[in-house]
Amino acid sequence: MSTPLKNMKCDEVKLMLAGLADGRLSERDARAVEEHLAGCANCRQELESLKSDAALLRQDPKPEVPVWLASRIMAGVRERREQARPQLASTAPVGQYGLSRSWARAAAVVLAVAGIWLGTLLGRGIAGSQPSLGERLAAYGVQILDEEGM
Amino acid sequence: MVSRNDDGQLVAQAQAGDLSAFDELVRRHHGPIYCYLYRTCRNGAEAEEMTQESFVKAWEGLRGFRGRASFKTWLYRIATNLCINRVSRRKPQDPLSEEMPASRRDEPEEVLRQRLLSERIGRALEALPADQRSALVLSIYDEMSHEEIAEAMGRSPASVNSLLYRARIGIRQALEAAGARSLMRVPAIGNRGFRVYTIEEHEV
Repeated sequence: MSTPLKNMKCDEVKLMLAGLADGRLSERDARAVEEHLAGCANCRQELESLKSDAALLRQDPKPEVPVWLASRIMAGVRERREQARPQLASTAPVGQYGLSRSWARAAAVVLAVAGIWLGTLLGRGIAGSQPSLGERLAAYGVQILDEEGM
Repeated sequence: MVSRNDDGQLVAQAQAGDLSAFDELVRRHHGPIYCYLYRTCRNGAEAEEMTQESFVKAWEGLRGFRGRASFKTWLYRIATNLCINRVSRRKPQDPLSEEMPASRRDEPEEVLRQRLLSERIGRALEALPADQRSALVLSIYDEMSHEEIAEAMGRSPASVNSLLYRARIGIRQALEAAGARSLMRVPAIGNRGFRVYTIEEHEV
């Protein structure tokens, strides 16, 4: 507790009373709270009520743990482990060039854009009187693929 | 074959992929986690399901566990998050706890008292907001220190003091409203153990 512990007010003490009732305050905090309690009947009464509430709650019997639960948990863990295996495989390199799936997707997008750009250039070539870019490239034995051909 | 005493060694082995080490961790901790979840949701099937989910999540996140908190409080944190999410998703009209079986005429008085008390404590706990309920259960039944509760709930110790204080005020009113106090065992005058309470006056 970072607040000065001497001359604590009731509001500050009340926040610590549950800890005192359950025996979980540090020695220093417990001493400070007890000093306050010595002169405060209201807080003493509050402490008794907290102890009584805790005693009542503790009479609730412990729930019975199903005997099969540990086995059920491990079955779930094994199942999840099996499910995780194909996911690990999916991040492995794809194809002979060792490209991951995300890189392969990015490459496909770049090629598609390049294809559209070349298509536009070819269209302009056909419209004019000069040989098109396609015809000129064909003269060098280069064939241009459209999007579908990629 | 694994032969280990502390969680740390088991955790290290499980982090390296040793499933039998994780199995041992499950056997050590599944009981308290189940009881904690049962007390916060008051439903056996849900508690079972959330206990399994907590450990599956722990297995999946084990590589990220750095050991700043203990494995136990880390597990409680996973379970608390699951539980608070689940409870806050419930619709107001949803029944919270499972129905208790009807009482039998030949039921021994002590068994009947215990059953009624448990039901009423359950009703009182359900009246609390999910975070207060979790903090209270960790404090009263799991006997955690405020620092451990803070770790298990991902809060500061100071905010746990305040949360627990509100929970204790809330549970007092809820216990009164549920009529639980009248079923409490109180010490008898003299050395006769406990005073006999009367159940006849309570509706069953």
